[in-house]
Amino acid sequence: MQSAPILTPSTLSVNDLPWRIDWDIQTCTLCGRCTSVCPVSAIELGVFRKRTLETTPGLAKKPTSSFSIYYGVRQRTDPAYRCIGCAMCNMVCPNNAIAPRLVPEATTLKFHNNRGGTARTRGGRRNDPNSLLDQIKFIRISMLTDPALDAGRHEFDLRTLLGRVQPPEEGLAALAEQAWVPPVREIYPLMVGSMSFGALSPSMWEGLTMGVAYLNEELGMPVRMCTGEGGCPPRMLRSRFLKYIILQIASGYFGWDEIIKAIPEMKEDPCAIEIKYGQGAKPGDGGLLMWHKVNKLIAAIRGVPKGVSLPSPPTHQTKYSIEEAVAKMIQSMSMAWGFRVPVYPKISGSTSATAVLNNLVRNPYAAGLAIDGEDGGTGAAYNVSLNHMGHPIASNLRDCYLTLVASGKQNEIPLIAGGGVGKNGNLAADAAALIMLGASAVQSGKYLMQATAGCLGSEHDRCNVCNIGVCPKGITSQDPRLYRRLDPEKVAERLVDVFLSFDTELRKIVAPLGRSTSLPTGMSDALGISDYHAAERLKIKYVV
Amino acid sequence: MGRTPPFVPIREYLSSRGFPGYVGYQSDSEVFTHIMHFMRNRLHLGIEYYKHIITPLSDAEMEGHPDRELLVRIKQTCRKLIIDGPNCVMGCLPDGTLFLVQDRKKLRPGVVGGRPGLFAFSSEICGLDAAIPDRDPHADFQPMHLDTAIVRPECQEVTLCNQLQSLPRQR
Repeated sequence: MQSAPILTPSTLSVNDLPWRIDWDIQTCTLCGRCTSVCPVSAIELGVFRKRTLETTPGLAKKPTSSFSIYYGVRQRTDPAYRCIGCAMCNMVCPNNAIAPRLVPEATTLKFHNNRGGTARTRGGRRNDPNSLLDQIKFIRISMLTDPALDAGRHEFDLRTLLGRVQPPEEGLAALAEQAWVPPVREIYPLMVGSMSFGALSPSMWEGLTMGVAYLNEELGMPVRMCTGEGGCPPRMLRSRFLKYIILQIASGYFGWDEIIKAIPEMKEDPCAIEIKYGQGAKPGDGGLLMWHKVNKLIAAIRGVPKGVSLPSPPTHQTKYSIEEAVAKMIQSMSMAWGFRVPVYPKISGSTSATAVLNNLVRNPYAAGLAIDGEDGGTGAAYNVSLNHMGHPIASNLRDCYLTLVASGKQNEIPLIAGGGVGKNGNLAADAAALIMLGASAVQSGKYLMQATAGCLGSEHDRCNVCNIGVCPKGITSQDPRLYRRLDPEKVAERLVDVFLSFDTELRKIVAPLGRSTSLPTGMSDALGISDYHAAERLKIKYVV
Repeated sequence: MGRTPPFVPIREYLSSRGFPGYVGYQSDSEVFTHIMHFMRNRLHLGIEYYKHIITPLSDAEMEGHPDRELLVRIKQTCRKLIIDGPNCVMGCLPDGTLFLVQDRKKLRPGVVGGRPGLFAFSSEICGLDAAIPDRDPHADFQPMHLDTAIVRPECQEVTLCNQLQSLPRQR
């Protein structure tokens, strides 16, 4: 008999892994597609030696044994090659002979994912399927006291304003005097959240931009997409489609050489400029594009050398105070486009959000505030930041909205909420809840990746390898062999599907509340929740 | 009459205008009076503008409007005061002007009729019949989704003001 293999502290068995491969010897054809498609080499060809004992009843004949060899699939147990549950093996299997299975009670791996002292990094979202937004109900339904509006037949105009809206007195006076007025864009209240060129593959980016252009030009829905921090392809910068794009500048300033060079050649102004100070998925951390994904194209667009990791600093290094960081930067970005483009900061949800907001209230050039809650997604971050850092969006947004109400500025500075919107598939309901809590618009990234490109990530640590460029669907990879799997045309089609169905669902929610031509921003009397403390905190109705 | 769905945001908005009179709100319909007050006293706009504040034109309708720039500005800056829900507002201004406006979907009834010297607003024609039987019923008018019906203090005629028409200059 063979003795036990050498045991190290990190020697694991299949039983220690959360994702376990079920392989069926009866149906497997040994074609090898599963082992070649696996993005993390978690499975490999297994050569198994099998001993068969042949014994017959009675003592006349002595038992014999024979040995045979068979081939199959073996799951590796080295933590570096653990199965991530993406199930691409199943997708390519002609006979459905293999599939990963989640075993939530197997937690040993969690203690061994820091080999070499390197804390775990990953992509994805906080691993927590709970969502407060999903618990919120819309409880104000007009029936007898009022004819409710008809979601199918009445006129609906669900738009929002992005930009600094002056108080009515000032706005009318400015018109009379022909004075400068802050730029304001009328946009669709669901925005494609900031996902950078680099974090996303060229196919994904192309698909999203095509979808956005179609929504605008063919369907008349003014949907806007934010670039994230990673610049913008030069052709897009010089195209008329730039007006559908919100350019993001963040602490690494990646891609801004190209953008600034392109300003004189721009046919259109961008929709807006988003200054990223923080991201809900990883507050206190800057953006991160790991070296795996920095190929020639990405390096050129971002203005960096190839093959180096690109961690943005956690803060904007040239700034040292809130006045500096916010006011001067808004001023400079506004100036770059002749004060014709709204400029707004994006921060991660935080207890200091109201302080930032109060600063913006005093700045006539601030065009809004985007707040990204703890459930936001990312292409790369430390696991600890993803799982444990950040502020839930609901109460953070609510506090900010009520701060605006207290200062009478609630129509003037739009709040844009994001982070975990639609994390369980309820995009319209979550968005409507945020709007009624006080948001003027909602940003979504992860849901759109899941819905438009088939991203496999879940709240159970499935896949989540966006950071190392091996995305099995080609969404977040820079390897042409992988991103060729994704057809940009199909992504665009799905994006259009998503926005059309979102629009229908949003109407179904707001019509019975009696809203049709203006968003129900801050209409908190329509919201209820069965959690007493949450109701008290959010100042909405407690219903059971 | 009618319920005012965005009551809470409008009340919050009006209460934050710094005018001590915008209080009370025993009924959600009070926001209509306070919006009127805000429009007349803060924005110095006439009654013809009221409907442009509570139910602004769509962008397409505004496209060829002679006062487009002003209307766009009003729609933006007074966005919090938009009222979508079904309602019919009948009111009397301090100078004795009577007016009636409908919601944009014309989900509520409303009619104006009468004769020089005596005009009445009612939700049903039978109301007019009871109040002013000796009028010309052919001249009764039911204001539609873009109309404001105004009877000036002289009480000689009903002035109709359609949102697509050009507006009087601001005071």
